[in-house]
Amino acid sequence: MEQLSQLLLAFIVFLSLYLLGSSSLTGCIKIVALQGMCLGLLPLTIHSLGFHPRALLLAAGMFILKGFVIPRVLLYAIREVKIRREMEPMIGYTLSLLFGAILIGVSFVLAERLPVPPGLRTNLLIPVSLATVMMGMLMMISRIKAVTQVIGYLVFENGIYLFGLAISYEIPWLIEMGVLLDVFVAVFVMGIIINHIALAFDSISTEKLTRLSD
Amino acid sequence: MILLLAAVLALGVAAVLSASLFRHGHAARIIVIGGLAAAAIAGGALAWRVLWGLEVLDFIRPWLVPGAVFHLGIDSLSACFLLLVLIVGGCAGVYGEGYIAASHGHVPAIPARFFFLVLMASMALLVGARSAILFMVAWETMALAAFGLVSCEHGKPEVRKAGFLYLLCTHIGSLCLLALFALLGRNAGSLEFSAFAAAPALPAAQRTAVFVLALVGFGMKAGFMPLHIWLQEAHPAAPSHASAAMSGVMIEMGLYGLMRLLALLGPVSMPAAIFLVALGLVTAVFGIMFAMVQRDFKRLLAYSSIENIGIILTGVGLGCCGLASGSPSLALLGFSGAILHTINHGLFKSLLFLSAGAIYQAVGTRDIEACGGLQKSMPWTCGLTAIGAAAICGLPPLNGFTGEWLIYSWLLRPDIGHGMRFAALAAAILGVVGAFAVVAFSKCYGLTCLGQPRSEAARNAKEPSWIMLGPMALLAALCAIIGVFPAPALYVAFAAAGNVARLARPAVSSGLDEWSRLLGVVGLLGAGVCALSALLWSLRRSLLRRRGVAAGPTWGCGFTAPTARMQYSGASYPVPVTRVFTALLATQEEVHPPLGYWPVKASFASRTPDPALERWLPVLVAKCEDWLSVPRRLQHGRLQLYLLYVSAFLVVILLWKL
Repeated sequence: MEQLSQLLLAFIVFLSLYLLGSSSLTGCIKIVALQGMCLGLLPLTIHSLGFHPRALLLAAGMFILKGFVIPRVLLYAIREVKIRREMEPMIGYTLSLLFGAILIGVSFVLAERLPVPPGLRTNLLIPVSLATVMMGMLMMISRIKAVTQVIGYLVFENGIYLFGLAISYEIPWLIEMGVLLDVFVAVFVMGIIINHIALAFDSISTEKLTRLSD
Repeated sequence: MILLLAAVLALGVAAVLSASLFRHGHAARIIVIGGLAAAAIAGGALAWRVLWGLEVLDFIRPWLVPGAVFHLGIDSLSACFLLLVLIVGGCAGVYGEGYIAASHGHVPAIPARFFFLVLMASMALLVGARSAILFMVAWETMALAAFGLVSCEHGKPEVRKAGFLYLLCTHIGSLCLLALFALLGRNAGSLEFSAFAAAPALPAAQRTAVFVLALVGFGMKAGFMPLHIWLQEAHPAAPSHASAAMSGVMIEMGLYGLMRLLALLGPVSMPAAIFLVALGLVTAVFGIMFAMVQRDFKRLLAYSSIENIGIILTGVGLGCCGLASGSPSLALLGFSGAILHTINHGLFKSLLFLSAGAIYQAVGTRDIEACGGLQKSMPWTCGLTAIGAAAICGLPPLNGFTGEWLIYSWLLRPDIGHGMRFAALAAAILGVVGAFAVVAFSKCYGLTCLGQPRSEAARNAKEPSWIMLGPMALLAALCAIIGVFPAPALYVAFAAAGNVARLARPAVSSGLDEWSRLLGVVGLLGAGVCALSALLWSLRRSLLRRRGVAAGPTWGCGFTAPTARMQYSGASYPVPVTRVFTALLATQEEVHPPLGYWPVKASFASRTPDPALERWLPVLVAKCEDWLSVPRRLQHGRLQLYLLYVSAFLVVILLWKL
């Protein structure tokens, strides 16, 4: 089980890096879906005490929501606005990858200073969650299209979820549910908003939103 | 305590059902009325038990919210406000069904029903909340439900503006309350109210901070001057049954909060108590002065709410003075005056708002100067308005007199020592407020109901349906009953005041007997006078019937072509009083007098803007804009850079703190 959880975590980081270097939107959405599925499996493997029956429910919810529902919403959104590629990132793909690597390093440094919660099978969880959060942030900062920003947000959220997993034996049920609901609503709303941005500005580039500032 | 939960649940379920069954208007109506009735029965039974001294156990359950428990409790103070919520809200809700039906789609039924019931549920929960988190949850729900009600008719730009202003004000208030509970919670080590009461006293500086935060936080809702700015905008914007509930109960929740805090934390210092009295008097004078000059009758009522809140706050301040000087009987008198006036205000102000709604629907405008002569076409509505107007002016034998009389009695007590001079001054100010109230409401009632109709709509006005008149009649009856037989209401007010002043029941009941005897005599005397006048009037009528006396038109001083527009107008009626306060009111007049021998055109328009909202606030806002012009450059609208700020901050914090 330990190897399995380590493998899943490594895979999650790898997927985040792949996202940073990829320009195809459909591809990005599929990768995020894959990452969501990995996250769904993770609660079943991570704790040395085995898993709570509750974790099974959470895993199922996570798996369905992040693996199927949210990607479906996003795919629908990009089909509606007819775009396939992120053409003009503010930071290039190679540079983004480089930054991503640096951020992974930074998160390992940070994680060393954090206490590891008891009962975890792996000490990789905290650094991976920090790295995922930061890479999600990087994606939101460096991309222009609204869809890529939503994807960045999802990656960011996945990182937060990983962090929560580290103490999930203590986190109240309400918060887990709250996070899931939050993500779902956020993506749902953004999926709609992307359409509206496209209608109002003839483009889904968030650069155009500066016109809204007063 | 299950009963309180049942009441809240009944209202909540009714809210959801009424919104989901909107297609079946009749079913939704039955659900709303059923929910209100169920809540009234459950809550009323609970309040009855508490007020009659039976023990009611607290309801404590673990809660999903971290760091909090779900703690409901009830004492006489809560029971008193719970009764008020259920009676006033119940009447307004039933009336609302008629109002929505009669508006022919102008009032959107779904939000008007849903938010009204949510407002009721949140207020019922609020009075029972015994932990700060539950209190804040109920408080915010109440605030948001009221926002939903205010912006019901959001198609009109002035309604959207009023809604936004209300939302802004209520958030400022809530922010202060959050800070307040954080301060108290840190001191007590828990967010339970019982822990606040048991905690050691705060240091002086923090006590002052608590006092200021409570005053701003609760005062924003209650409408203490100059925090009242949203009131006169929001009340006219909301549908009438909603403004009745908001003005009759919701704003008084601010005072409930203040009194709950007093009950938990004990007396404030003497200067703070005197400040409360002064603030109350200023609010009262300000409110009634601006009420006098309004043309929109709902706006007039809103300003009058500010006045009444001022009177209640004066009572609270006097109670605090009594506590600070160590005289329990004075404290009891002040608080019971405040609470009794709160109950009374809830009853007559909601009655007046409901009749304002009926008149608005009949005439189609809220402008006093488009009404007139409604007494003939809407006798029931006008008769009930007259009762409400007389009650709000504090005339015996109606209920408005009772609460104010307790406050006067405090001020005119011979045993308050060297404070007597100031007390006499305060009594004089209250007297002036009462006199102005008579001006304001004789204007409101006289111009709308008496005289000749000023418009075609006023001439053709129709009486509203029984479903609207019934609740109004019930409220009017309660006003009269409390006025003539004040003993039960006094009992409730004294029991609640005993909670605020932290007195035991024997001490409370000894004070109660004296006052209820005195007030009972006044009420009976007033009722006797009224009955005697009615007797004489009917005697005169029956004697004159055979003589063939006919009513003719009013003598027009020999003028040959009188029109209905030559009657007193809303601006001219209070001039003898307002002329004295020209500097304070700053009425803007636009006068085009008739010129030459054969004048063609002449006009006069006057408007009295709210000074706090339209004169002082813009200055403050301009100052703030000056200060904020530099940090404003950071707000350039680039989403990516905003995110960069956030992540840079995050990384710096992590690197620094770990």
